[in-house]
Amino acid sequence: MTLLELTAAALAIGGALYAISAKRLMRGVLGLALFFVGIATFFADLGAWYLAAGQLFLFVGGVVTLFVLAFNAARTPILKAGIGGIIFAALVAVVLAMSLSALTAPVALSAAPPSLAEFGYAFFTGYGWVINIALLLLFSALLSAQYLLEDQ
Amino acid sequence: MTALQIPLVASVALFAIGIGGVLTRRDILRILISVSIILGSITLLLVTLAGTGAANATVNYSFVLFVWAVEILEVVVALVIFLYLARTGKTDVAELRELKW
Repeated sequence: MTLLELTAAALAIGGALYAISAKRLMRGVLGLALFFVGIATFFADLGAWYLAAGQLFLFVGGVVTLFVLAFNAARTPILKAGIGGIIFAALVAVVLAMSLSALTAPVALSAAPPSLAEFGYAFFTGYGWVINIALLLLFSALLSAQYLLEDQ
Repeated sequence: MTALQIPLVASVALFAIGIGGVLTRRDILRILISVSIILGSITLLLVTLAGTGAANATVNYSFVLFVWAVEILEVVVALVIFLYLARTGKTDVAELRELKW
């Protein structure tokens, strides 16, 4: 159990650090994919396997592909940025993480996650109007994207 | 560390890394990647808190889906803006002036 969590944490944190510090942007996108895989591993470990599957399908399969396509279509010059900011961010992350682990009492997994059927029923019956708003926003985002690109 | 402390600590660390990326990077695509990292850390925190029993798991999982929706919205719109700006060769956020109405 702990080995899997440590692996997931290493994947997520290492991938995130690599994503924002890699010299080549395409390798940074690979780091982002590793980060998403780490988060999905955490989800699966916490019992939310359907969220883990969604994370893999939507983000590793969809969002990362979008990043790669956009980067290949644009071929922008690489902007150099100092590594100092990233080192500072990593140090802040370590300090925050150590303080949190020292302050919080040991917590064990106490609540059984809802099954997919229970979650689906609660989600679609309890949040119907919010889902409609989210879908409208997604639709308007697609329309505005098409408008912006057609304008050129 | 016990079972739920590792994802809790990892989510806080990832949030700090994402904020650091947003504040220090100049490339619009890398800033977008940093925002994705921040949102990913938030979803991890929500699922972890659901596991503690301190919060209603169904509510937290529903919030995760809405965070996903917001993240996909953000990625779609920001990538289009990135493509739009890339035609002019200006993806440095310090030089952007064209987004003003």
